[in-house]
Amino acid sequence: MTQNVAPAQNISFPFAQAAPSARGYWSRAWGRLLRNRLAVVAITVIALLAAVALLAPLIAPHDPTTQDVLNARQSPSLSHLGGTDNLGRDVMSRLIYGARVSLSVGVLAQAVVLGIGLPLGLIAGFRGGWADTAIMRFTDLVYAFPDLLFIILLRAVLGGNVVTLFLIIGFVTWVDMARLVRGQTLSLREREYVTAARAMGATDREIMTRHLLPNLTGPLVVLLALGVPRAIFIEAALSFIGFGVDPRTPSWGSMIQEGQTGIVGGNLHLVIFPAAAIALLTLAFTFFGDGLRDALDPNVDDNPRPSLDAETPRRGRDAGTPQEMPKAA
Amino acid sequence: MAAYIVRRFLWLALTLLFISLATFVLMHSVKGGPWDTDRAVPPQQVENLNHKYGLDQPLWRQYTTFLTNALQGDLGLSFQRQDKPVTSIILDGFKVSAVLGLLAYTLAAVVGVTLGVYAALHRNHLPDYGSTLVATLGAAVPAFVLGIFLKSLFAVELGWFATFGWDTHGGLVPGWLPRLDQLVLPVITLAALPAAYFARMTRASLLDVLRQDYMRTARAKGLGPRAVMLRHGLRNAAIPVLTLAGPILAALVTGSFIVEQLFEVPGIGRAFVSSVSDRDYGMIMGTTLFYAFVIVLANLVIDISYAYVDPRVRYR
Amino acid sequence: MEIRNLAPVKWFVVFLAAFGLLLAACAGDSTPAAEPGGSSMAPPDQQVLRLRIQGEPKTIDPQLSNQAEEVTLTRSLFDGLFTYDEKLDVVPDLAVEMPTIANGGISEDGLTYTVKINPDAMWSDGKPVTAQDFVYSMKRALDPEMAGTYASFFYSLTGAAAYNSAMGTPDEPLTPSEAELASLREGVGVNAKDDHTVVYKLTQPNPSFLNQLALWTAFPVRQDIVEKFGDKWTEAETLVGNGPFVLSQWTHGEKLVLQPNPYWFGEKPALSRIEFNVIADDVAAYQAYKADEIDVVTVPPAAIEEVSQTGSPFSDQLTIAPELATFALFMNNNVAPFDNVMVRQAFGTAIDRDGYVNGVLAGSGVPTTSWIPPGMPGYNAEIGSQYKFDAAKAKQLLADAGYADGKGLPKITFTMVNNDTNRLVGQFVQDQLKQNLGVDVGFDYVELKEYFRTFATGQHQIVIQRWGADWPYPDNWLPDLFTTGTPNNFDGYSNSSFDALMLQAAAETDNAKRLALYDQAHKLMIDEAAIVPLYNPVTYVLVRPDVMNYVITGVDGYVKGDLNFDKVYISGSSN
Repeated sequence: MTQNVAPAQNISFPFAQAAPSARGYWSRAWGRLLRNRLAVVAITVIALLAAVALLAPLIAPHDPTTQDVLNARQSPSLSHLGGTDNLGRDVMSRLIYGARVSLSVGVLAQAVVLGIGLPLGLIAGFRGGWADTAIMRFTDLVYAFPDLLFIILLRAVLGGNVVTLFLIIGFVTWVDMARLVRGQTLSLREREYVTAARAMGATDREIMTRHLLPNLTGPLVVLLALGVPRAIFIEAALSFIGFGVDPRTPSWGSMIQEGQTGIVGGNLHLVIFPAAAIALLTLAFTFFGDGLRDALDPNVDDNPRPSLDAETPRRGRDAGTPQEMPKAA
Repeated sequence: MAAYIVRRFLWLALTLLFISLATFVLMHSVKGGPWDTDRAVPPQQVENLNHKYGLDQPLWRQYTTFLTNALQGDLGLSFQRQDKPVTSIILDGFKVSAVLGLLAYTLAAVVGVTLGVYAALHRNHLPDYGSTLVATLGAAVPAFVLGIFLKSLFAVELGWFATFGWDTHGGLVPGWLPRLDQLVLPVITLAALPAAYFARMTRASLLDVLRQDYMRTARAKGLGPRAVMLRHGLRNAAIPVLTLAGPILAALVTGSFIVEQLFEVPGIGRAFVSSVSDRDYGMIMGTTLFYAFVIVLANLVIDISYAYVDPRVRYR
Repeated sequence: MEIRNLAPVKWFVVFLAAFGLLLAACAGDSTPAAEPGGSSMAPPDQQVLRLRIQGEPKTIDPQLSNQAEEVTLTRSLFDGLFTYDEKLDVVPDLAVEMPTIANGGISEDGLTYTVKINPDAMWSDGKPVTAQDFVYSMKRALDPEMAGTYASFFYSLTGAAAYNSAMGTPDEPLTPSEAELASLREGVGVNAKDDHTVVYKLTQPNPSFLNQLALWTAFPVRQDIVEKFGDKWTEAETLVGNGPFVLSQWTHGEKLVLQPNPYWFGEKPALSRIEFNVIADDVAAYQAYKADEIDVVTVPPAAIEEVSQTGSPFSDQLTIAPELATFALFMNNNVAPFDNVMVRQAFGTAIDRDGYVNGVLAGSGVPTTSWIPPGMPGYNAEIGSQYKFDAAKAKQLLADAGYADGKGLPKITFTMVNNDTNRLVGQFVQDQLKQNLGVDVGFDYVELKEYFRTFATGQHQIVIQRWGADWPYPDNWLPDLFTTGTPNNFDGYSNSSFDALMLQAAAETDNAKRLALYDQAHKLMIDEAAIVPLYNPVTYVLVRPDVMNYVITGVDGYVKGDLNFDKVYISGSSN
């Protein structure tokens, strides 16, 4: 759907620039990341959420599937911190277990995105010509494809479990990764070290894996980080229209969907908790992604010269490629 | 340039062809057909219905008939809207979705760009943090959640706005705009995410431009800060923003079915979802092609205008 | 500040006046609901009834309507020979009187029905309704090229089945010529004896024939209008109907507006406008009602508690309307393990209907173990009482069937439509069966059409399905569904004694004897657990207090109360 913003930004790469200090690229990047307070907070939040997901059976106050239909839709209380849902299940426990589904769908979808987008983008950018045109037109097709039909069909064939979900989301969102990789590869392949490697007899494959890939890592990782909340949004949207995970599995998206029917009785807690969880995760990954980009962007000046004009701002923590708009929003 | 445009249009046609074929195949692969209902349908009933809508023809013939008709602008009949031509249903729905989308887009652009410029000019001070926070929040809440809350609070509890409908009959502009109280909430809900998007993008782009050498040159030449900003700053900052504008507009205008569902707006998004679940083959083919056409065309237009705007871009 | 300056007497008078006004307003509110002409009427511009329908009606052509919201609209725009009263008895509408053998309306052999039409009946363009209109519409209903879905309901007419089946079936299609179709059409047993008398000829006696004539499919339409405007004849500008209202506006996807038919032969409706707003989501509709944007709404389960508790501002607007429908466990009698009677019985006893209805559905149902719903002739609360919830008994039954503790059972999967309510129901039932029977069942949530394909062709294993009355008599609930080999016999139940009883009942002319036969068959089928009923759905309806004479019946279409919009009026007392 939306094209990646990459076209105008040509991030130049370290080997083509004299390094102002003796430390390595990666350790400098890491240092920059850690100095970014917002990113550090974001990383902590993500780590916490991951911990919650992993330790769910230990942390959850109740069993997330135990029903108590005659006590449905109770407001938050001491025994049920998040209240109970339409079937009398404990909201807080479902929230905690839901972290598992949402996080795994989000992260695993990126694995699919990487698995399809990276090779296609590499080939398109590196080989150019015929292969490039073919792959680019293919991505046009995928963009314009009727996702809903495809999702229904896949779901009918594979079922409504977590695996299907992240496969579906991955299939639908890999295009931006491919475009990004292609763009970067296009500019990278003109670098001197690639010409040098070729002159030394390196095969295409060796060039792609040994020289291009490491330099792609930066923007790649950023896109992946921003892709996690996007995937979760899509999962939530799919759940909302009924094409999400099967109901027995608590996921934040399906909690919102079930909860919104309960909102009429004033049961706001049914929606607020999962929505807040999604928002928290989104914010965390967004700030993490932003921080990553700033950390990895070698255009950032660690030793700014004194400016001629006090008004001219120096670049720092300002670049902000917004996350993609989910197609189905 | 001209050759490029022609080639892209050819590709557009091919894309549409491929998509129509893929949709046709997919459509007939999912289980359940348009006549299935909770009672057994007598076989002669099925035959009568199939005969009425041309479904008794072999599949390949149905497809070719569809194609030939489509080329003449006739996308067939809808089964579920008894015999109304698909084209007119799509156009009716598109009119609504397009208006909603355009309004949301305008709101998002105005609010977003303003916020972005404001934040960029007051970088690293409170206004910047405030605007960025608002923008990021706008992107952190899914549209339907925002919609649910807006509706519950402002429409149901406070009663300031309508909870449903898009009545252009007695609206602000008869036939085009509905009543004001029906407009506000869906437009805001739909505009939230793009606005956040625009804000962040504008801010980043403007900051990037502001530190460019040519800005300092302009100042050194003696131009006032205002002129510098307007003449060089904003114009150059607009480029990446414009890149985004196209796809966003395309997406908005083809209808967000979730917002349409929430606020009962009779747009094309909602029509498409219900046509899939009704197995309304005519509508499915028609709407899919329509969507594909709009999206591919929008991308094409953006790519072409990009070439005009940014002289650095070269085309093979 | 100023109050201090007022003399105490003045202050007292003001207080009295305010109190008096308050009393008057409250007194206005307590007028009971259904008092005809009792309370004052609101002025004509306020006589507007705002209703909700769930989706855009696909069609409001009487011979093609089959969805509930279409039925609602068709009933207000057209009138047929017969209709229903509140007790669900068939009564004359356009017919002058009920045809009986005594008055010659029905022939001795039960094969000929002669119905006289009220000469005052008019179309909305001023032309009189004639017998030819009824003949035309009946033939149109049976026309294979129309492909109307209720055609088979009129197969008892001579020549009807032959005409409607003229195109053959998908497996053996036929291509009749124009002449052949015309002659088949001629052969259908409905004729106009004169301008105001219609004669129907049946192939065999059918005691429910008048019930079937009360269906909207038999409503008349104007041949000249239909032929002139083709498919577009139902648009607001061209529709001509004979009902109490006419269609004044149809904004597709958005709303329909009805206004009184100036030529209607009955008493002029008090309402000046009825609006049907399309609101797809139940929750959204309820919110619209709360925001005073619509006047009648069915309450979604999540809000039932809020609405029905004492002290709720809506509790006096609430009507609890039973539906003539039953939800039951349909277990495929030909698929393991449900080919074993005891397994079916075990499953039927293992679900806590109270928890289901009062918990999951928040009270929008009444548990039942018998198939035919209350409010209909043939209802018998005793039947099926052996299936009352009893976990221990259920476990025992399962063990007796050879599957103690659920061991040895093949995989069991429920198929359900993927929607909000069903997802909740599914989770509940899964839990119940696990707890009460020790069986792990799977749930397949599929799309609507896929579900219909699976269920209606008998390919399911086990589902929870609703059956609603087409007309209020047991012959709509038993023969079609449980006779060996009939199309609607979804579970594949087969019992020759049952079949024999059905044949007997069809031929029986004495009503009491007929009902007794149906009762016997009903008991037989339930004892063998062909299906096991769960509950009768009940709708919670909110009606705004100033809407009067709103009468809800069991045969209402989508909008409750749609049989009698012509009698509704808005009272003048403000609330």
